[in-house]
Amino acid sequence: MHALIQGIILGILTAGVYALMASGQTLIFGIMKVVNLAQGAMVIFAAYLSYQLFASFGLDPFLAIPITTVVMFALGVAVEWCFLRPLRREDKAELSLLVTFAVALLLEGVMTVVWSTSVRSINTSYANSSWTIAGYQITLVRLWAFLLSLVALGVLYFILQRTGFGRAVRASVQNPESARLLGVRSEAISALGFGLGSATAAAAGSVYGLLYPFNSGSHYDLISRLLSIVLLGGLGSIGGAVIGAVIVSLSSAIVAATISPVWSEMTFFVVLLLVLIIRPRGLFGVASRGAI
Amino acid sequence: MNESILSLRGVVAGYGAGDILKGVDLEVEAGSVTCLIGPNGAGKSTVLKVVSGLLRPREGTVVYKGEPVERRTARDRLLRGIVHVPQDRSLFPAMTVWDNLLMGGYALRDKREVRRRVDAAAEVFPICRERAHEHAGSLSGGEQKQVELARTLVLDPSIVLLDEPSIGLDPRSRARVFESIRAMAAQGRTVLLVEQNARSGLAASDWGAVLETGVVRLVDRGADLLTNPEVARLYLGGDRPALPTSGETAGADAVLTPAPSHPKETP
Repeated sequence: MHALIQGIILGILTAGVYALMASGQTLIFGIMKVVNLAQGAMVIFAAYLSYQLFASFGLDPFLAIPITTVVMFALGVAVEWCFLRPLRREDKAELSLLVTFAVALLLEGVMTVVWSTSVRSINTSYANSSWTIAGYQITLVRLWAFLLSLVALGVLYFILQRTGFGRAVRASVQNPESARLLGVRSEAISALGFGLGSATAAAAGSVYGLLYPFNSGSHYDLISRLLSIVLLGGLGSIGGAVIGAVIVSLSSAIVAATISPVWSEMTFFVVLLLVLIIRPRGLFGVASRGAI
Repeated sequence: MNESILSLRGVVAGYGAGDILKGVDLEVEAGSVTCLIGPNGAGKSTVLKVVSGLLRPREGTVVYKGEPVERRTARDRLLRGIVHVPQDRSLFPAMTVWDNLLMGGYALRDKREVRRRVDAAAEVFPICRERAHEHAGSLSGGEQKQVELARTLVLDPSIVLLDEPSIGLDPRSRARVFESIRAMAAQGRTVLLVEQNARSGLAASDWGAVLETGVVRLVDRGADLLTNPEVARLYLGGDRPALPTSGETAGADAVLTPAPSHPKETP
């Protein structure tokens, strides 16, 4: 029982981080119908940026987030501008898979050249600190990461629900032609939306670097998890991404704690397959005119 | 016809390789309601898309308030007062009614003015305030149409392009829509309307134009078109035309023969 509750605590704390990463992925799909296979590489790239700022200037990874957010936002806008915008609308859904995968490989190449393939980790003074509450251990880094993810998701929610830009994003997702007729510049919304989705990788990257060792090839494992989460929650739904992250993280952590860590890796793929068999669109998948 | 606010001259437009409009000439009188009728596939909705900028014509000019606008963007035309309400439900179903209204003012910079206009539109269409916090997708078809028209008012348009505004509505909602169209005209706005229900559309309109196979065949007073025997036979549920014999086609290819000396015929 103790192991189960410890697993649940760990699963919930990890879920926040995955939710943040997956929310960017699903936001991009919601706006552009593009499955961004480079999202994992962007998270790892942000982790390297955070690592470098810590190694060179001693800047705490949490404090580095505003800087990395600006860089990742600009990178996202540039990727949309250079690689996705030239695609013809009718080919975009299919070709964007290849294009974003190519961007992932490009980023991997850049990271390999700059930081080599050696495994890195961000070892802050509090990296191994933890609290013990009622016999259950809570790692401080995971707790901060979880809280940070909640704040970042809250900011994302505020932007989408309470700002004119967010309203335009939601309008474009739900009825692109009508949005255009009301003066929404769909190309600008796509670029800013891709930038916003990429910017979520900044906070996620800082946290990822604190929690896990990584190298330039870590994005393959990450993107498979992110795709599982967004497919589970339903492509295009941010709420679905959060729920998907909770299911994935909880199931993995519980299996790891109660059965074996060996089985935990495949647990969420089993959950994913079961959900997709029963509900192919995922738990909260949106139709062509859905809501993010 | 009094002063024209919109002129289409020799407009050729279409999708892919084919032309839907094959030389449309049309004058729209300022402050009037003009109804486009015609068979399916004649190009009625395409005319509206060309005017609003959703579709760029291959040939011809679109002159709005004396200025050619066919090369301007849809957003630019919107800011000049051309507002298009498409045929399909144009609301954002998972947004609240109030957010839908606010989207009407998205292109405007003065957000205080937007809120003033939204309040004013909600006065005209009370349902917007009554159901303000509900998702637009949860409203009935007639209610959604009212919100669409309210959102149109937020833009304070000079000309409103309405594509099949009564489609799928019950008789009461349909009557309400046509009342609203007349009210817009009474406020000095121009309405260019595409309506499959030709009788209702013409009855609510000052002018009617018959579009066939991508060409305007006839323009006349709405009331006069209602009593035109050939229009009645083809579009108003009067005597039905004979079934096509081999080698002939019906529907979109049915051709209305204009009286050569008709005073309101387009050039």
